[in-house]
Amino acid sequence: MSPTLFSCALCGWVIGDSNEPGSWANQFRGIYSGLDGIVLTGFGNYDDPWGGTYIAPVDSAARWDDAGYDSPSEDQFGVMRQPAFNNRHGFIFHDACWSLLKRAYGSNPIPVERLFHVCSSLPIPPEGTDLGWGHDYGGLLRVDDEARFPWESPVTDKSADMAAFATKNPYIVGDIQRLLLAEPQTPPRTTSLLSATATRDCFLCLPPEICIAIAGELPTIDALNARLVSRAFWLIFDSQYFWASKFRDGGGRSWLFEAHDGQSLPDWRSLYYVTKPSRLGPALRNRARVWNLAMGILRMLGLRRETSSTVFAPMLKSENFLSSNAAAAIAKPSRSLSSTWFGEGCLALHKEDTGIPDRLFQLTVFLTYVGNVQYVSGLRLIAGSGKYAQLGYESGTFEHIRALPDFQGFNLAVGPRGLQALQVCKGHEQPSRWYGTPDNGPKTIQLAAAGPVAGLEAAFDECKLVSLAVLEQPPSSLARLKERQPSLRSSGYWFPDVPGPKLNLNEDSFPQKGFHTSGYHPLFWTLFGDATGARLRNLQTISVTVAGYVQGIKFQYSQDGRPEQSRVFGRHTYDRTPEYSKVIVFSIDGPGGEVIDALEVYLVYSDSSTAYEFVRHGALYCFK
Amino acid sequence: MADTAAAGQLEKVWLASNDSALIEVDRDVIERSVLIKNLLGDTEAKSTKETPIPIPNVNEAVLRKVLEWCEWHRNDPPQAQDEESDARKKSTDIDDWDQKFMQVDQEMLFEIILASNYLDIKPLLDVGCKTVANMIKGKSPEEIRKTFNITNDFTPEEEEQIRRENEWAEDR
Repeated sequence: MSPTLFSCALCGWVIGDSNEPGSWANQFRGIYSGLDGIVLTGFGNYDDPWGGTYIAPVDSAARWDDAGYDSPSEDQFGVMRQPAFNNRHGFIFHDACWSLLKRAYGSNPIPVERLFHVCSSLPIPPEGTDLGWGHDYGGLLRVDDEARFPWESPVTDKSADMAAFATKNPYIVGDIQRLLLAEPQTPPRTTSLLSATATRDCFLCLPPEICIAIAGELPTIDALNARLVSRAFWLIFDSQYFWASKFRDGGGRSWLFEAHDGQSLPDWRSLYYVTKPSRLGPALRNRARVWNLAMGILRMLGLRRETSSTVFAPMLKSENFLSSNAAAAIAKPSRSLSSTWFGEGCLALHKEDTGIPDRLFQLTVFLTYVGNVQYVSGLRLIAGSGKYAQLGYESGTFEHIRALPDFQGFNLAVGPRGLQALQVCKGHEQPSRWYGTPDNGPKTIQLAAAGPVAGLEAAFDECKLVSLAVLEQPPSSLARLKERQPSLRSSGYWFPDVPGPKLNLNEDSFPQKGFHTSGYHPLFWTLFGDATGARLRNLQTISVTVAGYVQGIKFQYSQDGRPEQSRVFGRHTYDRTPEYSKVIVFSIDGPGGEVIDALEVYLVYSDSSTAYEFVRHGALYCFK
Repeated sequence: MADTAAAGQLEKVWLASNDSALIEVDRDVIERSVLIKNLLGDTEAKSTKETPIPIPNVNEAVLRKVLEWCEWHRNDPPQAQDEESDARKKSTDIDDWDQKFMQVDQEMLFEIILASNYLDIKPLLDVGCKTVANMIKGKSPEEIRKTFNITNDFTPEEEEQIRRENEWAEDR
């Protein structure tokens, strides 16, 4: 039997790893769902990982060490991948981290219910101890992006450097009072006042407060550089407002919130000086890390659903309309043992739909970050009359799209956890630019309609859009209808991009076609010879990495004896662990005219319930 | 069904620029300016072609440009307090339309900033400041001078003093 350890949902460090009685590292608050609704517990103490029982008082003001409280088993609840206990299941936070989150909320209470629902909508990786926000917990996790495609579960490891900080209490940090009470640091100054007349300087026409505002938008190094250019920026060095802005939200030092607590305002410039990263101890570095994570949660909890928006017209769900749907990897959480959690992908929790107004004036795309990835959180359709319908969540980051008389659906970039970006398709025009961040998301054109779109249906989790469907009039002719038949190109999720229409995909010989045209099963491709086969003449080596199945193929080229950049197909870098893999190298004399004129591919199938899903549909075993 | 505009959506307002141009604009568009919004709220009288609201600090070209921005952003959702404190928002976060809107000559850019400051259109002022900040970001002092066509007239003593102060404050 191994100890049961789960991480704080905010900081990512495990709760209960200290042998010190009463250590901050063992004290926690829980949020759970029970028969009485969503509950924030009092203060628990988890110091017996071998027992694996999370017990905390139901009263949020009570503590585990209150007189008379003996941690009764009726106060136990299940955590993360544990089953529910007493019909209660939820998440845990270090008490210190919860206090930081509370501080981040200022005078407003933490919306516990919303926080619980957001946490519940995140995957819990089957291995490891963390909640899967989609970030690296401020550097605590080392993520190897090169070893996996963006839609696959990343390879992660705890960073040894950050682990040394993560054990420090981020809330109560002794150094802070010392910093705040330190003697003001005096900058070197040889003359008290500088004055001269500029011959030509556009910044001198701006009021000082605007120069300070511009400097406030800059990293300190750039603001200081501006001082070397224009007298208009000299004043920022002596501006308490400028230095104080570094300690406000977004300024990089907001983690030192105690600076705002005192009766007398500190010397902000001096405080900036003594809080340079190189001068911070491990506890303050952990404070800064956890604070930034808390600010990320704040942003997610602040997303708003539009309650006054309805729909333009009832959705016409009849057989007269064609519906196309694109979705992320929607998970079906296990509901066994009264707890629901899932290991990867996302949940479709809310559905909304709307018709499209006759005169669609504007489409607003709302964007939000969940972890380190930007997603589409909502859409707003505004008619020429000014009336609007909203699907999903409104956020502070949004973009407007106008000129939509021929709105014909979307191209999408879809990650496993949600829609990351969209292009608007407009009649015979080229699609719009991307709205959102498409770079790491497989792309699909399955929502590009052949005619006018009649309606939209969207599904959301607690923060973002996870699926989108367009409803369109059926094509008038049989030929157009045939064009709408699902094909790999039109129905697949392609990485890095959908292959162009001039590329023959030879779909009939692709045995997993059905698998990849249904559900979220991204395809990746490479043109190892380039579009016209030009690079084939330079191809000299093909190396294949095999670890059970073919994991990757590397094409190496050279021209005039000089090696050129290679092209890699597949991302599993098993060659880092040679004991599990072997690399087979083939030489090919491209410059001598040797060409590949046929390819035989061998697939292996398994219907075992423990096999990966892709093996059930055929995995590449070998080729010749 | 939600409505983006109040009942007075079609009410018009007349403005007079400092070079005597008269411009008619929807009230909900010009109300992006807190100055004008307060002005309209404080007075019973309506602005007409005969009695336009004078905008003494802004010429026609700049005023039209500012109104173009207000028109595009007329349906923006009101910004909540917590979004202004979005830790992830950096100076580079200007949406695509605003970036294109700000692709003007430098004189116009600075005029827009001054006009938005005068008219109290904070989101436009923010975009202007961010645009200038982005033009400074990552550049050496010499490159910044070149970008903004600024002549270096610092004395060696002044330059030395600024350098010493900067070194003291730099984040390292």
